[in-house]
Amino acid sequence: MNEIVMADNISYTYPNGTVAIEDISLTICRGESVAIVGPNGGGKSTLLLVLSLLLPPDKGSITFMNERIDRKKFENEAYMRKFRKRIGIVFQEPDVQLFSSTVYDDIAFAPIHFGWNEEKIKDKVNNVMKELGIEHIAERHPYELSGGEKRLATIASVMVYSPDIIFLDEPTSNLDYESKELVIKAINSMKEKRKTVVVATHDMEIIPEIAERMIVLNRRIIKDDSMDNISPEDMGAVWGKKAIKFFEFFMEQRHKN
Amino acid sequence: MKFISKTLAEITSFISASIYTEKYASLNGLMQKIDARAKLVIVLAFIFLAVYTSSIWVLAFLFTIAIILSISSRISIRHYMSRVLLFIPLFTSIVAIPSIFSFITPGEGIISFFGVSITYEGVRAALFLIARVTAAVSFSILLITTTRWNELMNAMLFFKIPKIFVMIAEMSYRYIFLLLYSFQNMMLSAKSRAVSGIGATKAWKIYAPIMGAMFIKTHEMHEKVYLSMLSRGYGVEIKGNSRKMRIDIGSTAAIAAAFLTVIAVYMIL
Amino acid sequence: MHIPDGYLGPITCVVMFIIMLPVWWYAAKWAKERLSSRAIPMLAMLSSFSFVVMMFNWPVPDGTTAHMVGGTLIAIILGPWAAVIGVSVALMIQAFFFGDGGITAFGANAFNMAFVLPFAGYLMYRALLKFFNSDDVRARAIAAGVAAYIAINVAALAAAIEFGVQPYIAKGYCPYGIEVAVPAMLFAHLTTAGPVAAVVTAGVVAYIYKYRPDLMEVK
Repeated sequence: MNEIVMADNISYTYPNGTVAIEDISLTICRGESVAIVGPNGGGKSTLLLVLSLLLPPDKGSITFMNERIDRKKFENEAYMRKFRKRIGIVFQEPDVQLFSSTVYDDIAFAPIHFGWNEEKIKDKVNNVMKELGIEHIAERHPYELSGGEKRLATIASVMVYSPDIIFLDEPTSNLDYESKELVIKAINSMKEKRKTVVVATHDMEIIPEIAERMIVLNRRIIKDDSMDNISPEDMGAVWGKKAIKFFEFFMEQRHKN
Repeated sequence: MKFISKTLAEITSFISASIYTEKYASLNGLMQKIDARAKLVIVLAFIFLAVYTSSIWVLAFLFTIAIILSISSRISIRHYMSRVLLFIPLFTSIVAIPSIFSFITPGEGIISFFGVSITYEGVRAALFLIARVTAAVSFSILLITTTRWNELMNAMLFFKIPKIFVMIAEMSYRYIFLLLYSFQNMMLSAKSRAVSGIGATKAWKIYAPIMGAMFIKTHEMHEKVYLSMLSRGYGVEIKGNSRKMRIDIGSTAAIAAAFLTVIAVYMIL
Repeated sequence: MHIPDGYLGPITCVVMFIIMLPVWWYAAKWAKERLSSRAIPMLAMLSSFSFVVMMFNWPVPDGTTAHMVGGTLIAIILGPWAAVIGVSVALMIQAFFFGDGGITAFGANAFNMAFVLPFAGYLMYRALLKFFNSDDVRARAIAAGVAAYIAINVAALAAAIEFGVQPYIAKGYCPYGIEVAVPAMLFAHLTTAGPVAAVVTAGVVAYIYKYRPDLMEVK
């Protein structure tokens, strides 16, 4: 079959009792590009963590590449490592992903831990930096970077091991237009390589450029459909009237392209 | 509580100074050319001499060497001197003040008032202590200003410092900056709620939860860091940087020169 | 209570390093065998937390400096051997970056703040919980606060003794004898750093125990 990850009726509640997501069922197929939108606190980040097999759901089950991942498997980190190579996740805060002394070391983190040999690591790290145009920051300390450079470095740290499915959490938040364009370019180049891309965002203007399918999430799934079937009113239901006009404008742009 | 915000400003300026550090570490100066392991050995040798010597001339000589090395490493003299002098020698001076009086160091009085006198021996001892501390600090600042943190960490691995220490050092160094900035924001928000001019107990009621919140922030970050590491294949241990360092002739010569200087200074003075 | 380079004579420096070597060795061994992989980033975080709280220090005339350390806190959450690693690392970064706490005095500083302090705090905390015969949030917070208060003073006492003996064994180093150094250090820590450590440690332990008891590696 074609599906890469399936969620069956999953829920997740944080240890402090906050319900993050409830009764979510969805299927994501190979090569799809999905935008998950919804208000702050609507459970987008949590859903990404659950789908990327980092948080076990409290209820329901996840099936990844036709293998049902139960709680026992979740807790066996050695077993889970075979899935890690296939899944990439770019966190909302670049700082949690960049913790080495140089950008090079951060990008090499995954390849080193997946046990690649030195030559291959060097090769792949240099390639991905070239592709994203960040070779000049290789030896810099991540702390010295601008917001845009940080974001590209985190994307590189995931793209370097070429996972099948890549989750990105708010990849364009706090970026200027120029950096935003670079991030969108990176996402589109993943799509060209037939990767599955799942982006959680509330940056509406980027959605038409990167996604073919949209999931509107507010703890539960409110709408899940192809972009062509999403009406501005659906957006209005989440963000209020202003969003309707805004979204209409961007959809027009999409159709023009 | 004014003290905290003042210290915080000082700390933050030191932190930004250490960001410039990486800037200086990538310059093409004398100390930057020397291998980190060799540099560690050289700097330690000078510091040991500073701690061991009982001659003020040796201390003056060492301080001069440190300044010459910093200039030939293209570090701005203003930056270097402010990092060396502003913090530790200043604190040491405050700490050393009581020792100039006759009740700590008896001796020949210089001035006396209310039955207490400042003694010649006391002033001499205090100045000597400050000179010793300054000479030693000037070398550790020289090391850190001209060396990248990861090179220093690799040098530590080379000298058989257990991996867990180096690993934790590498990670916590990274988070110090973030913590400080989030802490500073929290202090600002407390300040904006006008807490100046209140009693210590009341201030603590406000600042203790801030510290708690800062801890929460630390913890939340740690959980996400862990997940981000997990997703990129992190297992039981972090594997180190795979790039190797070679010790070159220049660095060997530098070690030799440093040791000869240390021995010569010790013999002559 | 960071002792700078030049405060301790060479013999004291060497002796303190020799004492610390087996402690560090055992802590590394302990971490390899007993520290769960989930706790490693947590320890790094706590280490940077310790670094930051230690930066808030003020000079003590007749002594060195006063500040909280966070060693008791790490010991309560992850165990005293983890605290040995966490605080040693924070001290090492400070010694290199700011010259705060000398490189030659590193052994002594680690002995006081990364060994004596967390163990004193941890043992006190355990003893108090037993004495209260309860482990609800309030009991834990009070025990943690009292333990942190006592531990920092024990560590300050250890530091004061180390440099207080210098006038008798090594001339030209710390000028203050024990009879001056001990009261000065204890006064500063009993009245300022001690209460700070008690409030912060109690607050954080109460918070964790209330909201995230799963984070306590030491149950």
